[in-house]
Order: sequence, then structure tokens, then C-alpha cells
Amino acid sequence: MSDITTKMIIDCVREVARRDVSGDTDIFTAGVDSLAVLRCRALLKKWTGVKVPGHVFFGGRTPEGIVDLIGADNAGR
Amino acid sequence: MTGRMGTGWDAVIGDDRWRSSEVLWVEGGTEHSWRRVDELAAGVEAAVRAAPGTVVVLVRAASRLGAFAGQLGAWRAGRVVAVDDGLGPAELARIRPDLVLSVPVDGPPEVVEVAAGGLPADRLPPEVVAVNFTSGSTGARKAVAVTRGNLAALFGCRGLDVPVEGRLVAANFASPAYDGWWFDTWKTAAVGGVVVCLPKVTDDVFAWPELVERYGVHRVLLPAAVVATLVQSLPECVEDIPWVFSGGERFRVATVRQARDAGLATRFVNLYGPTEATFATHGHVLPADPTGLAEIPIGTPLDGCAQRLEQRDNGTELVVSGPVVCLGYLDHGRVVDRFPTEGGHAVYRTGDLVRPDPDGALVFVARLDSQVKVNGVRVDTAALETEVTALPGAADCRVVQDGADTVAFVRVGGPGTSPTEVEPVVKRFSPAIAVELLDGFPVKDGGKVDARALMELYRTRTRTGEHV
Repeated sequence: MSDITTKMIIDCVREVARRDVSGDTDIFTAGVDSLAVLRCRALLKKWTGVKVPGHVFFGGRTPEGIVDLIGADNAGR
Repeated sequence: MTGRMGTGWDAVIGDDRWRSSEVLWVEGGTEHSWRRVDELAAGVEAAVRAAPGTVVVLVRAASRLGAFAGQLGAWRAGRVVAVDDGLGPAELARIRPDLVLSVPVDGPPEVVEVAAGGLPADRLPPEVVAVNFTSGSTGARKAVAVTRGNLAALFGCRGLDVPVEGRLVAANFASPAYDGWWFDTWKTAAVGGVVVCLPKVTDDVFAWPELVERYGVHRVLLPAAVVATLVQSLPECVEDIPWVFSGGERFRVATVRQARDAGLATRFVNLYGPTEATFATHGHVLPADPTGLAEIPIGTPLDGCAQRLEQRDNGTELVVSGPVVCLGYLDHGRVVDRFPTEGGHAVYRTGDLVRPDPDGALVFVARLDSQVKVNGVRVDTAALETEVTALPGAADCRVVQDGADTVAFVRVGGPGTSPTEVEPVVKRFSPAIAVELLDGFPVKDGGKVDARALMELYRTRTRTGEHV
């Protein structure tokens, strides 16, 4: 189970990259790069304690896609 | 692994150390002994020797250990080796590999391709053993011929040593195709150390602190942009590493301040060196206390390098020479552009303008060719970047010109920075230069700022009317 929600991803993208994105926005097209992803992951860890692997960002691409992948990762454990 | 080992070429690739059952390599949760690496290399050596007449071996490996063992095996077979990190046709045409070898770590190497010959076996000077690719922002990367003397000079360079008790433990971040690889892995093996491969920052960066603690990592080499991000967001990744080396990009005073504010005791070393000089020619150990630190020099020459300052129209150019300077450039599988020699050593004009600080350490000023024309007016982009970066709230500035667009990208140091501070400075250089404020610069895998991505971002924002 994960506590990470689509809203949290949207919030951390806003905080780290100052981009307002919606649940289905491709964050990389919106200007998020690999180091910004790193900062997002650090922020999520601070907020929730969850260490989100980088591949869920690069594979999920949108806040909703990322949350789906986090869920899938956890389901497989 | 005790006592002082030879760091000469033959000693490093051939001596008794490779029979040791001690750990040399840690990657993906597995420890590999020197003997295990030696076995992998023996397989590579046999596969290479079975293809007589081959000169340049291109190694493909999914793991970093495969690349390392591939290099060792090819060297023992007397070949020149390059590692394929997705080289394009233009880069391959520069080195013309005769043999492409895939090196897994759980089985024998596999011959992917043997070129149909056509190039003579003596096409490269015998001292050439490897290739460095430049990171060139435009066009195909240049291929630099690296000699055994270059690598031996790096192996023996005391200026890059860090104080350790017992065996050196070095983290590896650089991918095998970047010149940082020589420092991370081969210089470490040359002194009998342990190489701990760090997962990429794009993936399991949270595993870094545990790896660092478990193996007692003494040093790591990271691009300046990665250091800055980690110090800001995940200081625990580097807090237990006593020595952090950085190179390839300008190291910022703000990063050192942030590190101190985060309570890190890590010492930073700023390295400088063109890819044409194997790995590094200059280094500067930053003071433990950054109070009063105004700029970060590229430092003084490391052993293996001699410097000369030559006057040009717009400044003083740094010229380097010595055993770390490479042979020249490769193209069509041959050395087509040999660097001139003086006193038996190659000489390389860096194209970088520098000035000595009061202590004699060099400070990077600009690229010799940093002037661009904006609407017919000559603009010194380096001067513009320096002025903007000095403004309060501006952490970094990069001018990118592409076609009709010239944009000053400004990384803001924190919330509340207003564009009104930056605009007048930029417009004084040329009113035609656009200003784009960003929280971070996109970077390439190697950690350098991605100018192309910056420009794409600017154009996307212009299209969508996102500008302030």
C-alpha cells in the first residue's frame, strides 16, 4: 500500500519545478528533467517516508501514471 | 593487498594483484574479487586473440564490470579498446572498430561483429590503448587517442590521491565511456583499491547512503550539477563521503555554502581538464570553511601536467602539456590530427581563458570563443553570464544561441527573485537577448547543462505564452 497520491505528485512538481500540471500532463514535456525528478523523490521521501524509485517517474510520465506504477510496484511485493 | 603496488601500465594490467581473492568490484549487490575480474578478462582476451588483425575493439556491456573486464582483456591482447555507450555512425566512423564484443558477467564474451578488414594492422601507433570521446555540444563527438603513458600518468598522479588508512574505496558514478571512468575505476584498481558502483541518480539513489556506509567510501567524482542537487535535496547521499571531486562544469560557491549549511563535513575538490588530457590537469581543494569564498579556482597543475599561459587578444589562454596530454584525434580509424610535442610531450591548447588568483591558482574566465553575434553585435556570453550570476538571487546563467534566438537562461537561487533585476543587465549587452528564469537547468546524463533542452523549453514556453 502506498500513501502517495496524484495530488502529491502534482504538488511536488509545483514545488520543485514551479510547473502547474494536471493529473494527465506529461511532466517531462512540461520541463521536468532528471535532476528535478531527483528533487521530487527527495520531497516525497520527506513527506511520506516512501523511497520512490526513479523508474516510476520515467515510466509513468504523468502524475496519474506515476501513482499507478507506484501502486503496481507495491502490489508486486 | 598490502604494500605499495606498481602503477605503471604493465604492473597494473598484468601483475599478481589479479590473483587475489579480495574484493575489487561491488555492483548491483554483488561483490567480485580480483580473480573473478581476471577470469572475465581472460575470456575477453581469448576472444580478441581469436580475431587476428583486429586493432580496435568495441566493448558492449550491460554492466559496468563487463566494460571494465572488457578493457582489461582487450589491453592484455594488445588492442585499443572503446566502450559503446550508444555511439552513433559518425562516432563509429572515427574509430572504425574491427571487432565488436559483448561482455556479460555470467558467461563468456560473445562476438557481435568482425569488420571485414580493409584497414592495415599498423594503422594506429602502438602506444594507443583507448579512446576518449569529447562531449561536444554540437555535431559528432571527437575521438581522442589515449595512450598507455597517459593512463599510467593518471594512475601515478599523487595530486588526485586522498588520505586513507588501508585500501582506497572509491565510488563509481561515471559511465565507462566518460573520462571520469579512468579515475573512478582504473586509478582505483591501480592502487589496489575497491570500486563501489553507485546506482544511477535516475534510479536507486536512496541506496547510496547504505553503500557508502557499508563499504566506507573515501571518494566520489560527480558532475557539479549533481553535487548541487544532492547537497540541496538529498545531502545524506554524500554526507559520509569524506572527499567529493567535481569536474566538467563550473563548481558554484553556493553549493559549498549549502553543504556547510546542511552540516556536511565533506571536502570538495574542483577538478579541471579537457578530455584531450585524459582526465584532469588541474585541481583545487576547497577550504573546509567557505566563509569569504568568492570564487572557486580550477587550481594548480596536477603532477603529469605542465601549464603555460599565452596571451591572446581577449585574454590569457591556458596551454597544457605533459604525460597526461593525449596523442591527438582519431578519424577514419587513424590518428589524423596529432597534437604538437615539446620536449617529448604533447601540448594542447585548451581554448579556455584563465587568470591567476592571488595564490597562483588559476580561475576560469571564459571560453576563447565565447563571443557570439546578436543582431550583428558581438556579445561576450561569458562576461554576461558572470555579471548575471553575481546578481542577488541568481544562482547561474547560461546563454544559448540557436538560429535567430539568443536566450539568457537564469537559474534563480530561490523564491521571490524578480526578473527586473536580471533584465537590465542582459539588455545592456543586447536588447535582442531574451531572458528566461528557471528553477533548474536540464542536464544531460553526464551532468552537463543541456543547451538543446533549454532552447526547446524556451520555444515551448514561447508557443504556449507562458512567459511572464
